[in-house]
Amino acid sequence: MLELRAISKTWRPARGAARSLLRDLHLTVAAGETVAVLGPSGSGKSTLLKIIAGLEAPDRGQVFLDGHDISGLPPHRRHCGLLFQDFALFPHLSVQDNVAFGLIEQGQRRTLARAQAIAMLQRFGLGAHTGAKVWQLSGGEQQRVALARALITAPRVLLLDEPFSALDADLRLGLRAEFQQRIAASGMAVLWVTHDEAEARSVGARGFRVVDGALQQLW
Amino acid sequence: MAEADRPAALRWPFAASWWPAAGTGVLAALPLGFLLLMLAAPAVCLLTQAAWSEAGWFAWFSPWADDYLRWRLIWSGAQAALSCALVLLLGVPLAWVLARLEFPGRGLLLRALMLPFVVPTLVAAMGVLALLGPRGVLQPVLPFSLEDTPWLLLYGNVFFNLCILVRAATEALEQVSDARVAAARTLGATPWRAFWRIEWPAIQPWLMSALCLVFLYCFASFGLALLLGGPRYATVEVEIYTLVAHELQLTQAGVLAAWMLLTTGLCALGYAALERRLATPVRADRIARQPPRGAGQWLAVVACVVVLALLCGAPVAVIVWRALAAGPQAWAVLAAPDTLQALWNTLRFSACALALATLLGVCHALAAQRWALLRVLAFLPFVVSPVLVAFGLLLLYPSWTASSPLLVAAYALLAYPFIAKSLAAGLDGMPAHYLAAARTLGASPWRAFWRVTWPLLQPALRRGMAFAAATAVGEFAVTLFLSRPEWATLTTLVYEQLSQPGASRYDAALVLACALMALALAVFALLEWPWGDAPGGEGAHA
Repeated sequence: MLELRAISKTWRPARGAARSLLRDLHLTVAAGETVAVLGPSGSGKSTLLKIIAGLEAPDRGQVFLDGHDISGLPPHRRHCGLLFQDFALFPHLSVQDNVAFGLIEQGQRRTLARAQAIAMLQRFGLGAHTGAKVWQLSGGEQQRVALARALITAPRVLLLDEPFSALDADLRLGLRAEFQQRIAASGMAVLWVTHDEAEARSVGARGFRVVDGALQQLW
Repeated sequence: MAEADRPAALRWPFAASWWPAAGTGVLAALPLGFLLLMLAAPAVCLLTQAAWSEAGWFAWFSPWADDYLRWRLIWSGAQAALSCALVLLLGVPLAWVLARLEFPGRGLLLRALMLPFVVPTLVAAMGVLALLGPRGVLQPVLPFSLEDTPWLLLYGNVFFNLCILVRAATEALEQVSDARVAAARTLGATPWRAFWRIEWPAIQPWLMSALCLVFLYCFASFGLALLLGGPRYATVEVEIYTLVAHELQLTQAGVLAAWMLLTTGLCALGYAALERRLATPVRADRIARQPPRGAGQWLAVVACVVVLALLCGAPVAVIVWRALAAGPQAWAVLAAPDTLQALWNTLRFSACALALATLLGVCHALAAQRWALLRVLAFLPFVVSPVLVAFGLLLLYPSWTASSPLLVAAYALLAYPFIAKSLAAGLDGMPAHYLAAARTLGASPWRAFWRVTWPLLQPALRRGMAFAAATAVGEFAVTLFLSRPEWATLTTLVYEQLSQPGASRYDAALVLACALMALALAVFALLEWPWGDAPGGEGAHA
């Protein structure tokens, strides 16, 4: 279970006035539950995900995972998978090496990690592209690879930062259903950030909107 | 401003909280110490040499009271300004063709525009002489002799600097917003009016920035001015060399050097200010290139190819042709012991300098990710010309003169900014999400750097090293000042052959110039290989 307690974050630009992005924010996401977070650009949604993943430190507040305070842990020890808007696939690695990346970082042997990655890619319908470079894939395929890469290490929390905003509308609908199915099977706590309310309602058991740095429950 | 909208330089990767400020300090110490010892201290030494002369502060203005020196100073500025005007007039139409039209060979043409960056100055000067000089291939068809006129030097300047402006203007035109031009057209602007009112204002900062560089390079020109300027149209740099090496008038040379430093410093400040203004995100709605339509556009393409071939290709081609035509006797110079020794010297000095330059460049670029001031400092070695560097080092470290560590360090000083700038650009262009993704996938900071950042930086590093190596191989001015006779490099050997009378000497110089150019090109190509589709290249980020 993921739990956020009193998270606050102020953005201080090099010039101009400081702005409060997140204010005393509380949220609990149970294992196997998907929570959607809505909000316009610049409302602090992505910052919230980065705080959970350990990529940014909050000014105040704590992040708990299964009852343990992980606020002081670096990102690579948090077991949080993060899916990016622009996929963030590594262009110098092949598709299978992208997917195997996390396993190798966990200390698995390279050959074993690659074999697991190939098996994962086959389950994702990408078996024909294992040796390809990521930029040779279509947008939808790239996002599938990104999901496979995030899921292969079996993280306890999955964070999705507007995962389909770079894709066209038809592809978005198809991928959304596929992602929901795969994520549900993994039993993780999922926080899905989007600015599209229809998408949020279709994926989230509960939905919140970021308003003035606080979470307002919508359903 | 959303988090994702922050400038990449503030996010990636050494600005991150895990990278301690102390680590940045350690990285910065090496290039800063090097710049202090090899650049700042010699520059201060030059200034004090002028300030504390017997004539006192009046000495500072003595060049302006002397007709001969005043002409040197005025001409140095004038030829630089004229060269700027010429490259602007020629470069903008060429850039428009390259930015707006898609035609076979366009990529090759853009790549060929890098040629003048790689060709050593001395070789370029010889190319101009072989084409238009007293014994040049075009001399018989010209109605008048170009010897002792400013045109040879101006042509040399255009050869070297046209590519700087064309590349900058092409990049600028590619940033122009398609939507804005389309809006202008729907509001009734003709293509020409849309260019004048929308595109021209948008590309002006890029042009100004490129012109600052062109002015700097031409104003501080040494090799070209030495060979092409003749007695009347040589520049201040040549005068400083003459005063130091032949007349031993160090005070007078110091005063001229101070004026040079002042002018190039002002120009560099202008360039730095413009560079900051240009540090804006790349536009997403670029104007797509179209195949040429109609006779007019095809004519523009042909004109573009012809002008580039004449101005940038001809001096290089004519050297090869003249060298081939010189016959086997001239080519025997390649097997001479002096040549082999010079080749060995060139290779060993360049290799040592490249190793040192790489170390300095990597440290500088990584540290500059946290300290923005370091970015400006990387530009300093471009501001102080090789002649001033060498003269300053001679004054400051007289007992180290003609020592190989000082020579290699001076080479590295001139070469390492290419590596630092290329790596800094590579780091800036790398999406911050890559590092974040690696960290969330379990990579420690060091592992994330080793597995993601470092491989993606390879193309930028190789490119920087290629330019640095080409600079070291073709270095001339510093070698002339700081070298010993037994340390002659290929450049000084070419100059030595040229300085002696006789057609056979001239032919030998042509062959040596050909070999020097081949060496510079080979080193450049070797380091930059593989071209185009390297991981992390432009295509890779698509």
